[in-house]
Amino acid sequence: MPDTATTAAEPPTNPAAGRIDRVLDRVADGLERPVHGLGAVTGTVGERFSGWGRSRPLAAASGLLARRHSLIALILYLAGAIVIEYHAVLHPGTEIAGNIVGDPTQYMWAMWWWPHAILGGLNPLVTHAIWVPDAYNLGSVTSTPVPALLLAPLNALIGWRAGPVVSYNLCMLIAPVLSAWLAYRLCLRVTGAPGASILGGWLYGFSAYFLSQLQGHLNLAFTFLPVALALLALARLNGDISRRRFVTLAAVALIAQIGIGTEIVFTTTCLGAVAVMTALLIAPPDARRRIVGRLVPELALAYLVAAVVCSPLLYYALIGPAVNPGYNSRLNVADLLSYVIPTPLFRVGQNRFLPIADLFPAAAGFTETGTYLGLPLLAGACAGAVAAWRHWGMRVLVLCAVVACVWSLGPTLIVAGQATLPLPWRLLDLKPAFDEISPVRIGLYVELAAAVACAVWLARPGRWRAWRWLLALLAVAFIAPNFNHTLPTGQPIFAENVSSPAFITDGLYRRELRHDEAILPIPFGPFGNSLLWQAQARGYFREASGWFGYYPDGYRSSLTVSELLSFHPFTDPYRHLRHFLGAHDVGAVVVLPAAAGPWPHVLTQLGLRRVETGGVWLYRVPARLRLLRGGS
Amino acid sequence: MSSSTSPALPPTGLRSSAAVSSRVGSTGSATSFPRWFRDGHGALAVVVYLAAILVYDHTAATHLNTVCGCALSPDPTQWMWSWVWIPYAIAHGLNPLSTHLLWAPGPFNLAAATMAPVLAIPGAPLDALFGPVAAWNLLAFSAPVLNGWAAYRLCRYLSGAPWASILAGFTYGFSGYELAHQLAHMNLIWTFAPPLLALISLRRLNGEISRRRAGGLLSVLLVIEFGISTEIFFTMICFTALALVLGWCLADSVVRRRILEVALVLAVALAVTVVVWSYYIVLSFQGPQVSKGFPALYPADLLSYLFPTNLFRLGRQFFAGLSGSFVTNDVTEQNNYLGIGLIVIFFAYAVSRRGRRDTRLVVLLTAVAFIFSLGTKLTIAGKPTIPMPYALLAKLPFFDLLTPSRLGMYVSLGTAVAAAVWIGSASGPRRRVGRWLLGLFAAALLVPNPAFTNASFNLRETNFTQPSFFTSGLYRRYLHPGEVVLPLPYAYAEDGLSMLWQADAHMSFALASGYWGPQAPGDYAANPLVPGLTLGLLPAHAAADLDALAAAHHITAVLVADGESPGYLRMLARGGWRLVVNAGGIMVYRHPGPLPAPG
Repeated sequence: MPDTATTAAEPPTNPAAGRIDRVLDRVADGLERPVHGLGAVTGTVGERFSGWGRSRPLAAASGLLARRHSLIALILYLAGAIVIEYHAVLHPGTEIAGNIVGDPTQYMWAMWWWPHAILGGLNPLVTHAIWVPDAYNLGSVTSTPVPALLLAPLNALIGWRAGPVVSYNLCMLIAPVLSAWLAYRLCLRVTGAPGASILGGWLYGFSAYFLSQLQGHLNLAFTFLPVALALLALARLNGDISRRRFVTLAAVALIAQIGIGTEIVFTTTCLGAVAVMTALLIAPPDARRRIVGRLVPELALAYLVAAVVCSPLLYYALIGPAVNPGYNSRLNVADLLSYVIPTPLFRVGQNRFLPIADLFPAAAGFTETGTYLGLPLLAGACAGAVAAWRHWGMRVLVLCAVVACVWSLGPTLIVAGQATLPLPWRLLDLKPAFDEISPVRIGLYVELAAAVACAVWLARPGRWRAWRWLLALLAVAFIAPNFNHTLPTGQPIFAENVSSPAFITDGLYRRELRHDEAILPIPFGPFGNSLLWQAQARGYFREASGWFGYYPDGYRSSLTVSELLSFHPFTDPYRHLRHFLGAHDVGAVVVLPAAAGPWPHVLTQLGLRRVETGGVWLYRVPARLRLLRGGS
Repeated sequence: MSSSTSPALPPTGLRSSAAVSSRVGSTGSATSFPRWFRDGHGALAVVVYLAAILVYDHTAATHLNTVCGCALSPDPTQWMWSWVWIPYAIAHGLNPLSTHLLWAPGPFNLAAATMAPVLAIPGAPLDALFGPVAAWNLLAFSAPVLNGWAAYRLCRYLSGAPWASILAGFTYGFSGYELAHQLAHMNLIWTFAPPLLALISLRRLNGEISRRRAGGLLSVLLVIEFGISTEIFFTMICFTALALVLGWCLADSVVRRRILEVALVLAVALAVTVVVWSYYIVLSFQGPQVSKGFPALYPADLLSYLFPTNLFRLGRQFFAGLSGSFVTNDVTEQNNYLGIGLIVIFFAYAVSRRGRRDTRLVVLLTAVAFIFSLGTKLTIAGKPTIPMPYALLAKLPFFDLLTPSRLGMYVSLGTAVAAAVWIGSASGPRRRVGRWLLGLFAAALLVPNPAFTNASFNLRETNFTQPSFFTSGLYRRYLHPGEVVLPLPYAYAEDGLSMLWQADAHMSFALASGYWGPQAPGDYAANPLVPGLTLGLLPAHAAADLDALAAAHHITAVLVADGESPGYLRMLARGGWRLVVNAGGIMVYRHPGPLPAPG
């Protein structure tokens, strides 16, 4: 019996350790053969540092084979993204794969704004097109210059009516593919096993985090930076790439990510620092020397280059107002159960766990509950961690995952919606920069660690290979999206129609509005698509509205803004609105009838006349009201 | 003596093949049973456990006859009553398994209830000598010590590590299960049988005791357990059967033969038990089935294994809100807490010894107990989610009467075994210190909260001082021997201690009430006053209902405890009941005229 043999081989005092030793020995033996498995991780047990991260079996294989697997991975991920976002793929100009109103229009607006500002000689980091007449600092919000500038030619080619939505959809399609493919490369470097790596890449690229952010956060859907930096760091540590190449590629990755969103850069940097410090504590001396002498200074140089290139953006980000400081950092936290209990976004589980998922913090829409791993992935990752625990690289990975997990839980451990123990994040959550982070999004790094550990486990040689693959495929199935789920409004969760009224698409606004005239759109701010309207109109009009991270001073204290956001006029809405229109020099109020709420009545009571045109109700604001400037 | 008895099997069995036992240099396992008591570590274990329970329940220990180490609820009065009833029935030539003194005129079938007749053997003399509360306290102090010691013996046998086994025995003897049921359920706190059954079976499997000795010991054990709790008896038999099947699947052909032989010995012991308790069994089938529907009502909340309730000292302040959302508000059924320490130890054990068949067996059995304890639907923070395998079992006879959450006891036993083996097998000083620290932390998490109260219970320390109307014999002047009385508060109510009144009065009157399970007998339940009195919500025509109840059951007096709800007094006044005397903390009411005819 194999078990008997196992027992006989174990030292009597510590049989478990003996067993692991023997497994590692077997793995080391297996390295002599071209086995794609854990060999790359633990293959050189006596030379542990160089073992981690060197895709030795792959190197042994032909370059053609490697390229073929890369291509297969890419095609697979692209197919996956197309299936998940099929609504958007089928109707790229009018539908998006998400359900948040408002947020996606920020990125669509940016698609227009950045080329418009640069070509027009304007400061692209400050705009007067929204929140008139204030100057709005785009450096401190998610203005995504990199996708906007890269896709500007495409927008110009297909026209601005459909361009912003198409570009947004294209980005959302590319984001998971890029992340997954880089994660595949990382797993391949760690394990040397293409099959396991393809699966590991999928687990990261199409993780719960991505499905959540797919709902409307383009800047957060791009998660290539941590993987790219890890991949480059491993390659550099093993001497596979030159210093210049490492610094250049790392700087490019940093610049690209800064140009998409600074949050991921900040959290990646924090957890990268944790990884480096942990490695310095537990890595063998040779590895420590390379980290201190090679990796850290070269990485610092890459950061410096990126900071210089992005200095205008970073400058405006630093001088700009903080976005909801202390709000996201305390409220957008992960529930402990969210790592194992699926939200309705997932096919397996569907609504069966909805009573629990509804208790999670920030559960509305499930855009900020992207920490779900599922039991199979958790089991696979734990098994991978146990199997390769003796390798310092795995220990660093696990410790980083633990830090990320604790960080994601926020300042207080929340279980099934109940606040329980205070957690370490409490020490940092109100500190500058940290106070703008949503801890729940740190779950991304847990998912990355889980994907890598699972790939390591899957790549191991030996028995139970079929069972391991079955579990791994189950892990994939557990994070498969639930296309059947609909919101209470009946809208599918992975599809939202963002088509604009004919007033915008047919150019009727040119007839009804003056150039550069300010409008008040209703629905207001985050509840409407007025940013998209403006982008599609190529900035023909300005807005006494907008939707980015913060409200300018002139709006934050306005009662009308509160009323517009709450759909509930207060005791004297007429006076408030009259002063608001005057203070912001609003020339017309554009109301979408389907979401007008009580406002047509209020506007009529103010004496404004309604004109029905192109699917909107237009209320021209007479000059007598606009003369009340400053009266608010 | 096993040393002098020729074992039926050679002593080169599973132990040497490490398929069942993983002992490393143990000296304890080869000793015969009487030598257990000369085992220094065993004695130390008993001292430690005894000291622990006396510290935990120090108020009850120092006020033995007035403060009960239990919750103020009618549950404990059941067993206190039975310790008077059984000697009374035997002395008067009555059937002790059927009484006419509860739910008069009865008869009420006590075999269908949780009377635990075996506990009357120590309980009755203790009650006679020191009173009912002292008897409860002394037995309640003994149970965790005995349970812990039994688990210690099993753990020591499996791990060969006496100190780790003492710790593991503690985690079983003072588990979340034990502490929760100590509040109210005398029949459920005796959980020594499962570890002892496992120990005897393993020793037989390894050929360390003879077949006859094993059969005899198992028979005694099963007979005792049946007489304490048929529920634990049944679940223990099920898990033993499952263990044998799983062991058979995991073992090689030699061991399989021995497993079959052990199964045969167990079957004989089971047959002996059935014969001994045959009359009881026949009566118990006549019902009523008091726990019908419990599988759906009392599942273990998934989170209850990890997060402490108010019952525990450490962490309670942080997790009070969470534990308040658990599936049942009945703290006596929130009995699954293991704590993060034991859970981590269990997983470490499972991972570090994952290739071994004994580990697989322990892990599988614990997993099955865990999954079944979750009941018919997975409940998380009080929210039912997906169906669970117990939903299939709950359709079967007997299983439909079980309380799934109580299967957590077997999870507790599995984790105790894991703790003993894992801590005991540590090699090297650093690893040993680390594992011991974790083990001590796990044990510390199980320390109870001395000031455990909640809205509806005074928990862990209850003053059971009885009205002097009964204790001083005053009742003899105002109640006729054998007459039927209605007690208020009613036996169901949280402070309904009338069965204890009756016990204090040496069964001199019959009660138109009783508390053996949540259902009143059919003829009582039909009267709307009975559920009203239970919930403290009197129906609209309470006076008329009382008259009807009195006429139907020949109630001639109503006993009202001092300070009870004025609603009771108004009901009695409206019905024409007159106060005869208010003495010794009891008001006696009688009806002046003839009551309306029943029906």
